[in-house]
Amino acid sequence: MIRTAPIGRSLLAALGLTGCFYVEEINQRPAADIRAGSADPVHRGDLVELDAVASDPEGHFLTYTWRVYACTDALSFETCDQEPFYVDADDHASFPAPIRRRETSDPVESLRVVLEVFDELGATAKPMEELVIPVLNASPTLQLDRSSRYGYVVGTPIDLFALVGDPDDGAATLEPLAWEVLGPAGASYTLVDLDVGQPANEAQAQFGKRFTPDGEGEWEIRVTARDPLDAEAVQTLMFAVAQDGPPCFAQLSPIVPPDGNVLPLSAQTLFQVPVVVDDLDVYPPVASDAVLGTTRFQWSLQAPGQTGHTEIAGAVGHSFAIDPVSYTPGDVLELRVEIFDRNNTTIPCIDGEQSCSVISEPTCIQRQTWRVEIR
Amino acid sequence: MRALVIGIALVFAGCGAGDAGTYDSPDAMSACSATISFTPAIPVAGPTTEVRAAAIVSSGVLGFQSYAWSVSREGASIPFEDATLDRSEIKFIADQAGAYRVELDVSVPGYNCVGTASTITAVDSSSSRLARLRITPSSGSGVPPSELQIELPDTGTHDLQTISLDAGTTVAGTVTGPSGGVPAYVRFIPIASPDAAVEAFADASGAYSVRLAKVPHDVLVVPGGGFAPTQTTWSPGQLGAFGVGAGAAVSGSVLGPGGAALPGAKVQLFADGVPSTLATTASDGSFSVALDASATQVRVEVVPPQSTGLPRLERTGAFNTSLPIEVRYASLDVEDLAGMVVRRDGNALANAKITVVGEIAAAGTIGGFSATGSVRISAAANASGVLPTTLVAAGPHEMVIAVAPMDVAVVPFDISATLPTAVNAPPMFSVTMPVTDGTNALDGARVELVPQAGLARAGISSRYFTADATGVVSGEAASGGAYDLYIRDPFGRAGSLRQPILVNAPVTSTIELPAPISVTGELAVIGNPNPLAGASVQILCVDCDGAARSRPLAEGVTDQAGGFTLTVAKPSAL
Repeated sequence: MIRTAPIGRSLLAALGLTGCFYVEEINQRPAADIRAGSADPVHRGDLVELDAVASDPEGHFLTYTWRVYACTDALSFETCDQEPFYVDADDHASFPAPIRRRETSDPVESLRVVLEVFDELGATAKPMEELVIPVLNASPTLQLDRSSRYGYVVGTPIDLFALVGDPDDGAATLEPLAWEVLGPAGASYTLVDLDVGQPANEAQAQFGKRFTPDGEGEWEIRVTARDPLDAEAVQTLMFAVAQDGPPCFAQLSPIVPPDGNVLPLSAQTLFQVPVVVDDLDVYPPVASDAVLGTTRFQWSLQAPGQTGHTEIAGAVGHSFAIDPVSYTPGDVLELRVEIFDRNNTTIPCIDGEQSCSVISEPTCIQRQTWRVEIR
Repeated sequence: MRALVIGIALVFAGCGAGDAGTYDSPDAMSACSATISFTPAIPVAGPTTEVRAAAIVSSGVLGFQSYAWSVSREGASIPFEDATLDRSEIKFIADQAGAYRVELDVSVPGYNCVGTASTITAVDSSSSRLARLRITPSSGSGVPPSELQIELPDTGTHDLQTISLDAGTTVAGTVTGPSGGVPAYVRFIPIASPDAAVEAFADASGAYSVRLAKVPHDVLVVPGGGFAPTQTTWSPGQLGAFGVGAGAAVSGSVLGPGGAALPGAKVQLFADGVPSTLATTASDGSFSVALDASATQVRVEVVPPQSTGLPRLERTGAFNTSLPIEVRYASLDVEDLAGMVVRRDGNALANAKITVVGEIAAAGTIGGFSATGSVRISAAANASGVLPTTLVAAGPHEMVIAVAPMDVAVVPFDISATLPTAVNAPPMFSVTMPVTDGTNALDGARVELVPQAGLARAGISSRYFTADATGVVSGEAASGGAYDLYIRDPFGRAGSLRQPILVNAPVTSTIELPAPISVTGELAVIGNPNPLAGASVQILCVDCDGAARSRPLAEGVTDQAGGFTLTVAKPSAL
């Protein structure tokens, strides 16, 4: 719509003119500005939201043209692509910040945003609104995990897992992970690649290492992921590695008499150790594990009338049968079982001690004695 | 099929095979959950095979519960009937092998529960085997041991699903005599599963504490202080206060072969497994024991001093224990082994230990009944291999000669007519047994030779071997020795095997272990959301006794999730 306005009467009188005439007013330019949707820094790949804030003095209907250029340095147009990667004609612009320039494949470090606003008469806001948005490189993502089937015992493998990603360039562009091991003074270790599966999310990658420490103490694994632009992520894992502890009876059958009591035995009875817990040498043994072993058992007997326990040659199983017919009713004997893991730690107690713990821990004993009365 | 006897202490919650049993809890409604438990856990299909399905609604759900059931197999409806008045349990016939789907809707006022369903698989009756499953939770769990019978099917893997155990109840009881507390050995024996006994010792004040399944138990109390052992019962809700006393005196006398009094003999009676006190005959041969049990059949055992050379006597009969019991030895020839030389290949065996074992059919009488005689006489040769004075009742015996702890021989020793001047201990025979699964050598297979017969009576211990990298077991066994051979592959590549052998020559036979099946399951405790980790799970034989009854065919421990996997022989492969 075109609007007109009357010319001043004084002027008309001065001119000696009669009647009225009109002239068109001069169309004024609209005003425009760009408002960012968020003040957060923009990283490559981020979704950028911009709004055009425009007004026209005459209230004309306005049209918009957005052009966004990917640049290395937006202050120097030579480092921008010639063609915009984003063109739109709305008062709102929404686009992901590109990862790389189309024309050079260089990483995008800034965006040049150009907004033109036209009114109905074709008047444009001058100068064109321009906005330079710095685009940051996102650091890689890195998560670490660890697992051990062997209780973090010296000399046993600990599996380490690193899940990495790079939000802009993708996991495939990352440099090989740097694994750094910090351990107790003088302790050695091995660190070898572990074949691990890959996550369903292709933006991520998983790497594994099998770490075998050769010393007890606190160990720290520091992993660094670095992207092509030298942004890095560093994570650490800390865990304690302990010496192989002694095995412990978990179950015994039949009941072990308390001191001063005897177990009456009138039928053939299998004395057994159904369960031994240990870091590495458990009973019952675990199938198909090259690291785990099993408990060694040693049985001894203090026959009626004897003093001291005599090792029963060949009795190395987890059970030992006693048949009362081999004895005389009223005989009192002591059947003893001792357990050992691969360390074969000598049981330090004197023969007269019915039970014994190599670590003076009442809940973890390696010797137990049944005092039995034949009935 | 034999019925699975598990009482109420042990149930299988069959939720692993199918649809999770969850219940909605809309606004203003409380949450509830339910599972279906099956008995038996592994039914063997047959025209009389009855399967019971019981609804287990989570604890804390209060209100009248009503149940709607349906049973189907391969989409076809299966008839069933109520097993309990409240319809919380149904029963149906599993006459054909296959999966039976049981659906359940539970209604409880104030709760809005959706249905649950579970399946149970009936196995083919032509190829299954009965076994015992013993579960021994860790002591820290406070859950009592359980034992149940299962059918081992001929499938590759059989999932017992979730086995829900009774958490049990604590019984803090006492054993008291006429003057107060009495120390005692106490054994609680579940009536429905006697092998799952729980043992305890009462202290000097007579106090004891145990965790028991909430089922009726027989209780054997063996007190100290000269009181008579006794047997009683305990049922859930009872305090566990047991009294002991002097019992009834049972007297008698033991007379030697010539009719003279036999002092120093040990005498003990057993009435339905309850022992009497142990007596030693006086100089006049008399004895008196205290017996606090009555039974129609009483076993009397008499063990004479070894120096007499006489056999042990034993007889089970309907003795009148209110009258004196006379034990009289028959007129037996007793030989002295003094001067006899123990040799090997003509060389005297210094310090060899011998044990003469044997049976004498009519070695005497007990209370007028003929009694079996059992010979077990031990001696040690001197440095020249010469035996000292050693009396042995004549008979067709065996001699077990222990040249060294791991060097043993069994030889016939018939001294019925003549007494040899020397005995020869043949060397051990070699054992070289390849162990296979029929195709592959089983390295790491474990072999235990469990002594039987004379070796066992002589107290010889088992021998253990492990197959080398080529799957070959190498070792030695006693010449003339009878063993039970237990072979197991700890890596689960094959099932375990038990077979008797008599070693009269080098053992070179190939052991082919049967094809395996895996038995899996999970342990849970009723009312406890946490899995039962660290529990011992053993598969044991059914038709066996003695120590063999406790010797597992397969064993394992539950993992942190309460799961277990055991490998046993496929029934059809045996």
